[in-house]
Amino acid sequence: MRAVCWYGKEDIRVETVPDPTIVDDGDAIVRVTLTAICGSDLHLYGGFIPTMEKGDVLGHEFMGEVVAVGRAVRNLAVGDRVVVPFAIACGGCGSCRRDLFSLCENSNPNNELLTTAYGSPGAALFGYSHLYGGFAGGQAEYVRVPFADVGPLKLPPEVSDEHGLFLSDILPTGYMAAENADVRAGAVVAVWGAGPVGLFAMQSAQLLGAARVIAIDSVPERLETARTHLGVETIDFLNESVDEELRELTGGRGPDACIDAVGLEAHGAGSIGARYDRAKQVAWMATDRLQALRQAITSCRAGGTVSIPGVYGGFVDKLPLGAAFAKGLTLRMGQTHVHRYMRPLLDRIVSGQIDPTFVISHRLGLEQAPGAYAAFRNKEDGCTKVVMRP
Amino acid sequence: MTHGWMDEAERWILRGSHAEAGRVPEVERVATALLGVGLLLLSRRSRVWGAPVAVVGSVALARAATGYCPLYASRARTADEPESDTAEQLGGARGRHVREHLTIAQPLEVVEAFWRDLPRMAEATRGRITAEALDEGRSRWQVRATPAGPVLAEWTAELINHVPGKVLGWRTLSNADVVSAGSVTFKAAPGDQGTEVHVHLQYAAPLGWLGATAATLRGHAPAMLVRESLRDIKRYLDLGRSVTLSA
Repeated sequence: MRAVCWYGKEDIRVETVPDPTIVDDGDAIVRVTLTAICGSDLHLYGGFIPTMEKGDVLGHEFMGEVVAVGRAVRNLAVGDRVVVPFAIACGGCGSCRRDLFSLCENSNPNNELLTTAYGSPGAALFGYSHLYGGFAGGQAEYVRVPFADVGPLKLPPEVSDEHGLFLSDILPTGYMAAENADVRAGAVVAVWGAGPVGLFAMQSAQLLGAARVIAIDSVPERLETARTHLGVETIDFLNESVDEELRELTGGRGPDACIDAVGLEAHGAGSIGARYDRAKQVAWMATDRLQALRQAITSCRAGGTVSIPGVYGGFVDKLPLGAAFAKGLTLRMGQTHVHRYMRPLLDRIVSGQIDPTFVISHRLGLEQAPGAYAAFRNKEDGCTKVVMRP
Repeated sequence: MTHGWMDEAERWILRGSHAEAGRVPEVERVATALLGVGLLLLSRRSRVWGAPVAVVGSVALARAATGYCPLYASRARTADEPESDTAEQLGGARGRHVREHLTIAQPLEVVEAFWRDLPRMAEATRGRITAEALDEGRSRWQVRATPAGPVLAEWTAELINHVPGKVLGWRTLSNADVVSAGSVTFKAAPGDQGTEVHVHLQYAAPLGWLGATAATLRGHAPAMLVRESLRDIKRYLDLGRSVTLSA
């Protein structure tokens, strides 16, 4: 089969690799009908995530048709049309039983490494390094899906591939970000990063009753999408002072909820903090750049909540913990427990409350993946979200 | 990938000095011979130290030639002595300790019953650890690094402590490849979260730190084997079936 493979920093190739097979009785094989490149795939593309190996198949946002199931699979049958969550969860461990699926204790065969790094195991992810289990991803014609009874969600025929695909990651991630931010009726919500997760976080905040939503980014097309599709206010951090604008927009209070949908590769555009992070990262003295998170903490209203769906991987420097403490902030973060949100969000898609297709900017074939990664990383050609049909 | 000679070397490290009373293993005989020749050559260089160095070299050559080592012989047991090495090799501050803790999302009875039902060990670890009940609390154990790999170590263990619902304790009997003793303690986790399993294993690392380091480098250190096997057992009990994650 054809698959998008990682060969090194900024080296993505489409190769012919062996078809996946049923390895465990709980597996299913899915023929991928639509897949996407996620912003977090760019961390792999940029070489920020350790334990990648040459030839690893990428992709954790995908959907398709079930073409084979193992003997222990009860909920799925050949021919079912499914969307698959990016985190692999066993369904039986203590974390899964408490609906904390991305913290599954059993799915990651390399839990040793993760436990050494973070003190606790974490779920395996499709196509996201050997630290996260080494499972082949879904930017391919076929993919092996372990614990097929637990993850995949069957889609009704009236939901198109493009409407269903983002249930795999970014729609639940945006929704959980808003839920983690404790968004209530009348809240003012600021979202750093108007990429797909940020846009879905803004939309989710509106669904949860936010009175005002403010998007912070520097890419003109993204700010434009936020304004036109969601009707939110925007701040261009290249041309405006984020702290000052937020104070003005909130009558000096600061946003009730701040969402960092940027994560460890914040650009921060020339600010002193951003230059400091970049220099330390280049010199291997720090792993993560956190300019967005710093602003979220310093601008948040006293007693407010900071929610972090953006990915962080290592150690950070100059985190304004004093400000967070002084203002009595609540910080919530973590990988999305996708399984928990898929069905309720599917219901909102079916009812027409959410149309997630507005984030798609490029519709391509699998063979065009290398160019698509570069365009997405460089934010060229208005590239917000790439979907690929194998 | 296979590492035939490395597995052999490791088997030697694990088993060498526990062979029949006083016998020096082949590899060690060659090494001792080389040492002896080296010392004899060295002895000709110094007038003061020449004589004692020559004596040590000669003893080494004799040990290599005969394949008999009085030190090994004195360490070996005779028929009159107790049937386990554990008191001697693990007493006081001796031996290495492995402690592992994990929580299994099943009631205590289910978890404890697994440890009492030895044939299920092979099913849970997919053949990496096989255990077979013999008689009167004795059992025969074999460990492999991979399910199809060669046997790395084997031993007979005897149950020395069993408090139902609380703890199982064992020690190895004579001729164990790795002299060890240990216990599995069960506790109901608070808040209906299942059962806490606390494993304490104490073992005598063959060849001391050298053997332990060699095993660690090969990924076969007892601590790692215990941890990985426990993760397999947890998957098996959490999900009610053994699971193969990687192809």
